[in-house]
Amino acid sequence: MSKMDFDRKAMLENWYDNIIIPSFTEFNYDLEVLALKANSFSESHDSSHFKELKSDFLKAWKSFQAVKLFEFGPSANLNFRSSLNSYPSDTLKIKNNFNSNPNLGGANMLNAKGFPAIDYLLFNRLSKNLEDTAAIAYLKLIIADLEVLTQDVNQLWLNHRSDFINASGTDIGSSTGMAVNAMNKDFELLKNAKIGFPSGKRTFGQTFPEACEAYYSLYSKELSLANIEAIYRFWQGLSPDNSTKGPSLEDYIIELEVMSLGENLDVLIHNQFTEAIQNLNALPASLEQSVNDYPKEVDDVYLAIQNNIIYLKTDMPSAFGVLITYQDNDGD
Amino acid sequence: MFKGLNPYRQVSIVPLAGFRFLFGLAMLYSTLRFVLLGWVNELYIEPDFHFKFYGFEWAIVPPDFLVYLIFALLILSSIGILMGLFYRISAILFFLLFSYVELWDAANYLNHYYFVSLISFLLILLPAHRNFSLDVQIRRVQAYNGIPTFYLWIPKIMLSIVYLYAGIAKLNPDWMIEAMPLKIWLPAKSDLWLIGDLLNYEWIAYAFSWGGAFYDLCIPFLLWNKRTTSIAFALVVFFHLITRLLFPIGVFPLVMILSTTIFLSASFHLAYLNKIFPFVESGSMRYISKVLKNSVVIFFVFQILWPFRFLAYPGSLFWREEGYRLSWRVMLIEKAGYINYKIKDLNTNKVSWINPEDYLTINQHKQLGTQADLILQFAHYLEEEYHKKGYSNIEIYADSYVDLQSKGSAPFIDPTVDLTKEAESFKPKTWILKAP
Repeated sequence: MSKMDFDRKAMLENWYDNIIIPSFTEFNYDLEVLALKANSFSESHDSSHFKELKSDFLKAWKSFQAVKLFEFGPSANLNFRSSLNSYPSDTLKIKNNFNSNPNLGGANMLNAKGFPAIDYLLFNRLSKNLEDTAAIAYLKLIIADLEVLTQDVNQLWLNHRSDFINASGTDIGSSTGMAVNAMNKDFELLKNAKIGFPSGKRTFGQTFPEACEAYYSLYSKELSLANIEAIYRFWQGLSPDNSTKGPSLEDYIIELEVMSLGENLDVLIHNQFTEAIQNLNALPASLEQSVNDYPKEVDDVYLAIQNNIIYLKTDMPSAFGVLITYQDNDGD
Repeated sequence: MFKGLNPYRQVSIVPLAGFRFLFGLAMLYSTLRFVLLGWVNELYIEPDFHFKFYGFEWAIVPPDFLVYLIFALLILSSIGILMGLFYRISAILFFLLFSYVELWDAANYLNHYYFVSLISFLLILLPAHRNFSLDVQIRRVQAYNGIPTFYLWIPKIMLSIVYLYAGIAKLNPDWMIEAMPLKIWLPAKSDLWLIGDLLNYEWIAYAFSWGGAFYDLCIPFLLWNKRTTSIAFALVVFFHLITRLLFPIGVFPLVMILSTTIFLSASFHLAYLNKIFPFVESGSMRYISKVLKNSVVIFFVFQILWPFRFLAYPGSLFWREEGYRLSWRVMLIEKAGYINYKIKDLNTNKVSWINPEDYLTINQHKQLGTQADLILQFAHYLEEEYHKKGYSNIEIYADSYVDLQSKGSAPFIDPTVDLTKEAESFKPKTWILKAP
């Protein structure tokens, strides 16, 4: 290779036009459907509307997994991810909020709103009593909160195309640099919060199934899968529906002919993604149950992710000359 | 030629006064910048944990109000240096406080901070306030027109050592034969206007690598030689502006450019000094104290030998980084690390994993990943933290990977070694694994 011929601008265009914006559009749409279904349920209180509501809720939660990695650039520092998805929920706080007209914007409310709180309301509270009007009112309140936050972030991204595509270096403040850091941060969260903490990785083996992302619906495995698949698609430059593949981090690695101790780095990363997805799929039960009953299998998931993070956080950024830090400094 | 080697030869004090003024100005600017960018908070006040240099564990970050007071004093003393007001006290204060601040967190170590410490130390020894200064104007000290050339040699030799050693450090296979790490770093800037696309070419990385090494090795000689000083200074300006454009190195190109003016003629410095201070006509300083002469010799002998201490360590210097700091190895390696700690509770035989990111700033975390002494320090910190939590009987292991020069990530610290049993020392660290 006598000249680096990779067109980073084309990669940024692909990310923006084919991945980031369509993912937000889909998520926005799913949230609107969720809000509508919550309304119709609140009017009817019947079990068929409730069933639809639950399934549309899980669908929206799943499409959230495909946008949560884009917490950088215009949506950096907005706490989008933690506002929508802090878990485990504090159910006592949620119950106290029923009658108190809370200000959901405060940091102390993070674990009383967002998807995990809806999970509790739908799959615990309301499934016991469809007529629980206080819970339904709160449900509508936090869905509205989700919608507002998402619309804000969505709008910021929509206004940001030229800035995003023109910052085409890999230095501090470049879109590639920020995206690599954001992707790794999200992957690290997947490892630590979704899998590691509930399975006792950080607590000397003591497990916390109740700290799983979707403890009440037992949907955590599916959400983890959606998350890792979104990261994998982003790395490959694939659109959310897998219909378009454009220039990507994978292509960039291939163009640079990056080797990791004699092996092609792109192949190594591919294999690790595939292994993590396979291991996750192979869990014999829900994640909530597996952390107690199948520790070895959960461990395999954790390790497969961890091994990939090594490549994604050391080999890949090194090859791109991406700086791991966001801050400017007086370096030498 | 040999007449030039007489340390008592009388020369004009003007370049020394100008050097004092410009260096003080650079320090004032960089300290103000540091404060205004919020780095005092970000680097020193907010973090709960700070890395230390071996032997300087006592240099802890003082209470907040003292931190601010110290930065206020740094600003005042840099004004003292630049205006030549209470000069000697200002220089002493600046040297001590600046060095103290640098000791607060080893993760912030930069060669250029070390350079500033050394230059400000040397300023204490120089009669740089003996003209074009407020001290002379308010008659605190007697003015001089001429000084022994010895005093100009001191900063000049220091700068020459920096450049020469930076050049020697570049004479390694990675830099010269592989054009690493510039081969990676230059294309990262290919969005630059006009020259951007050029940076994608491999030959440019070679040109920059060889050019950079050649520059570092030659520039001291070109600066010392009166006939080439002007052209050399133009090269200095050009070189540092290029590095400013290509790399995130903040204020240091400015510091280096201004420091190098010590080589320039009296007429260069008079152009601005005359506008600021009145020139006081007076006699010459002819005396060099024996103590000073001997201390300067010892100082430079140390400076010449100290960077070679790496020879006492086994294995790859870039991988192990034993004897790496304080040796003018500037921007030599692309290195990225990833580390998690495993804590084993011997009472229950259960293990727990720690992601150090949860405890550290982005920069601390980045430095931790690739430097064995920091990895050991943080293990000891975790040991204390877990003792406080009631885990009295634990072992701590590092699960760490490092990618050096983009060759591929490999295990860095021996994962079977309990780091709570290891102590920091100047001895080679047996628990660093072999470079791949």
